[in-house]
Amino acid sequence: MPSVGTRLSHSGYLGTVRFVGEIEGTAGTWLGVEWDDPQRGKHDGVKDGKRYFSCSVPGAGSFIRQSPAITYGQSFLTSLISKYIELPRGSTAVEKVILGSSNGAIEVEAVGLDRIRGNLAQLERLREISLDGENVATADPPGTITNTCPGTRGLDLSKNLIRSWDVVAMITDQLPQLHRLALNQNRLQPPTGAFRGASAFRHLRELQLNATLTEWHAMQRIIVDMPVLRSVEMGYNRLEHLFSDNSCLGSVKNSTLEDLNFDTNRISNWLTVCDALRTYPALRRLVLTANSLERIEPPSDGWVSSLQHLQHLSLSFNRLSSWRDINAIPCWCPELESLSLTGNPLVEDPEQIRNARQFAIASIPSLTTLDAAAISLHERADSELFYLSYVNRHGPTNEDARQREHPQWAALCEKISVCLCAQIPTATGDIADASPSTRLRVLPTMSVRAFRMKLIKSCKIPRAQQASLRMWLKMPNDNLVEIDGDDGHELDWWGLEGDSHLFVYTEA
Amino acid sequence: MSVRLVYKSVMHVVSTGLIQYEYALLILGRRRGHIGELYTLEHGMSPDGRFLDGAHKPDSDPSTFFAETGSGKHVPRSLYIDLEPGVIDEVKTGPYKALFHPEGMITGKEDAANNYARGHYTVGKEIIDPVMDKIRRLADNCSGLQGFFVFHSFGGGTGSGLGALLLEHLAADYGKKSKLEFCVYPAPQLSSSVVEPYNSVLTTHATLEYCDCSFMVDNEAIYDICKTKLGVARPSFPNLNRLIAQVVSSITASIRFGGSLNVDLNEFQTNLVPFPRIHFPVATYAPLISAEKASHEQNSVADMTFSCFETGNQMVKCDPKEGKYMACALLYRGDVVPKVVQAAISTVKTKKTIQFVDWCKTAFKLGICSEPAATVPGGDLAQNTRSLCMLSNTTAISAAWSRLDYKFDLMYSKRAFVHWYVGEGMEEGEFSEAREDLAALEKDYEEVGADTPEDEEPAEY
Repeated sequence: MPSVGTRLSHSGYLGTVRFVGEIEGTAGTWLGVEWDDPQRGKHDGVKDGKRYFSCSVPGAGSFIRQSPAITYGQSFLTSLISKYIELPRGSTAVEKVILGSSNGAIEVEAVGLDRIRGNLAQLERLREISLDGENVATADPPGTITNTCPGTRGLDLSKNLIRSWDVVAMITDQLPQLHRLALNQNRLQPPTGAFRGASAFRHLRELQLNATLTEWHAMQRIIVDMPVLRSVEMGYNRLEHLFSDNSCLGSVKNSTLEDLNFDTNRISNWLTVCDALRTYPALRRLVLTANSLERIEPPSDGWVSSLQHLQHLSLSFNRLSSWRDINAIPCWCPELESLSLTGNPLVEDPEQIRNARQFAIASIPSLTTLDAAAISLHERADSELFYLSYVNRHGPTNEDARQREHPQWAALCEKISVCLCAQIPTATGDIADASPSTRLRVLPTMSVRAFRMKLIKSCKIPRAQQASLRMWLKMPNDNLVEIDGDDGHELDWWGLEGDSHLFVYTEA
Repeated sequence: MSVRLVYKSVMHVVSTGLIQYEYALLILGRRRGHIGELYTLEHGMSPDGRFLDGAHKPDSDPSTFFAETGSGKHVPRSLYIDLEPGVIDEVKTGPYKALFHPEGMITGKEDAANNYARGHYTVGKEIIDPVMDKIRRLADNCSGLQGFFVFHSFGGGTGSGLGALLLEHLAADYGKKSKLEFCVYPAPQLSSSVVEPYNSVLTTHATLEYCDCSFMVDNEAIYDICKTKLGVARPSFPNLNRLIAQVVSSITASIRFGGSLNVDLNEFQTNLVPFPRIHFPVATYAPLISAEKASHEQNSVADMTFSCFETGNQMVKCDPKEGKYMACALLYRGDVVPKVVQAAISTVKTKKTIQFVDWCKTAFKLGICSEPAATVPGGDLAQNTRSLCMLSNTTAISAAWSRLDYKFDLMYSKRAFVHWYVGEGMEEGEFSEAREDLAALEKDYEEVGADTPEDEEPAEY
């Protein structure tokens, strides 16, 4: 009889034994199993009102009898040999396989497969080993794996029957060059006292823990023993919160982790994410695709962002619906270069869809790639202009309200517009400091001719006076230079800058 | 918009019986350095063409596309040629600039303005002689030339016009060498000009008899893949080019990693082309997973095999279920084991039955290359330990020609834009000649797909 915690495979479905014993009202021993695939289960371990075991995923449990159809897996090396070592079928044979879905009419031919088999059978030369779904359950005695395949750099142990992290460590301890480890779709118990993490994962750079239901703090505890770890994938783990377990971690900082992937989880609170990632100051890439984020709050005062050096952020397929969320991103990640936003209500909204890209570009000044498409300098300039004119037309007119709603407004204005003070003289035509002055916001790329039109419009100069309009620019040394109103040059060319003073004259 | 040539040569080392291949790349037009980028990654080299410490892979054979210089650096045996300097200047200043020899880049001074006639006649004429000189020099440095790869697009002026001119000259000077072609079929979403159908039809007609095998890539299909599978909302040329580079790398893997493969491209090529004019295999690639996805399931051998028989992963928009296969090659790469592959193939379950022409039953081939495909860092495609590239010659691709011909006819019925071509010295007769040739090609596809009539026994004598 297997013990509680043993992993098993029953006609293709993997599960974990949660209960062994008798059930009221029936005879004989039952195995209470929690299936990896919740669809396979029938209940939560409750029969006739009595709870026999509990499941971490609701409805994933059922009771089965011990039967020959159940396998408890084999050792690492047994799986390795059965997958990679295949007897040659004779050097001259052309091997044929009937293609499925062809009514048996099509044969797929292969020549020289024996050469491939020969290459693969030299296990000591293997660099990549994938034993996904091969029923690996146990490690082999120390030294045997090292002797068999010492050159392994990448190992895929997804969808297996490994019981705990202790077993994983016993396998990887014997693979001195291991850089990549995939443990997707396993159910691993946390390490115990015999865990040899420090030596087992000393060269590990990439770790995949997708669909393992690993919790955040459990993962944190594991990777403490991985000194050069760069990337962790935690997708499909039903994570809702990233609760840090400070009691055991203390102030341990991992300065090597650069890449974290939370694809398809249930994370809904941005602030807890930022809080949890404090221990990873080197983080460069963060993927939060397909989560439940609804808001990105701006950092409160005095809060030091934990995402200072983040360069790539993916927020695709979340529930972001307000531009306020996007405006908060540059406060959190000042160095952000690449962002994905597809699939959010914000950008899918039919009214917004045409402007979304431009708005996002203008709102985040450091961005160079949006939704994997590069942003050219030209596109950035266009987007910023578009954004300014949009805010100008539809945004709040109150300066404070505008600044609150569009934090980039001031900076963008600074960047591309020139603020002019045009003094409109009284009817006499005197240039006097007492004459009323108007402030105009214009672009430095505007032509003088267009500027003249704007001036006429904004100062409401009557048609009769328009012909006599003349303009002088006040130079830094207080000289006045007349600007030809019919000139095709840009204002920039004339040397106009922010807060330039311009004197305008019209005849009465 | 780009044309790329690859020299391929064979050195027979008789004493050991070893055959070694050598290749050179010649690159024309707007395709950036993405392919060179991938090749260097896969052969474990740094951007300046030196082997990274300990990264040299014993099985790989960089001499197929790279020539080794005296200082131990590997220079791709390649030539970038464009009629205008802009794009090639980007390569010259890009991260892989050290990889490409300045000798290997030729630019003209005026561009082809999306005009086949300019690329082929007026502007192309001026550049073709220096180009052929350089090609000859590269060829002389190979120990034995075997053939060429030509990369070009159909839509633009340089790709279509100069590409066709180049193939004509190659056919004249190197008649016996095999000439393979990678061509990019235009897509309306990314179209830069209205005359793309003209350029496409004209260049197809001009290269049809000079080329032995053309691997077509449809920008529309690539665009859709980027959009739906890779999560790129608005794909731009770099996104498309990176994906195309990935496919090209898979196709050529068989020649570059000769040591670890059971079959090579030369053998496939013979299989794939049953008739000289029917030489347009469709490439299909799997898995296509966004780099932002956490690795989950999709990349098992069975999943990859299945998705290659579905239309979503094809590089040309057409439905093979509508047509019949004439030949097919399944090229697996990376960590795959023969028995798993065989099991996956025998259990493929597609919605519709896979049909084969009745005059050939054995042209379905399988290849395994144990060297995994590399991906460009920062690209849209997830890194994977295994991949599958399927090349299939199917009659369904004639749909692509029909689409092109339809668009051609719309404009040509009114002789719209024809004056631009005539103005560059082209005869108007070439238009109708090209169009007839394409009609004949469509007809050819129809004929090879038709069932062979059985000899019916007369009911009575």
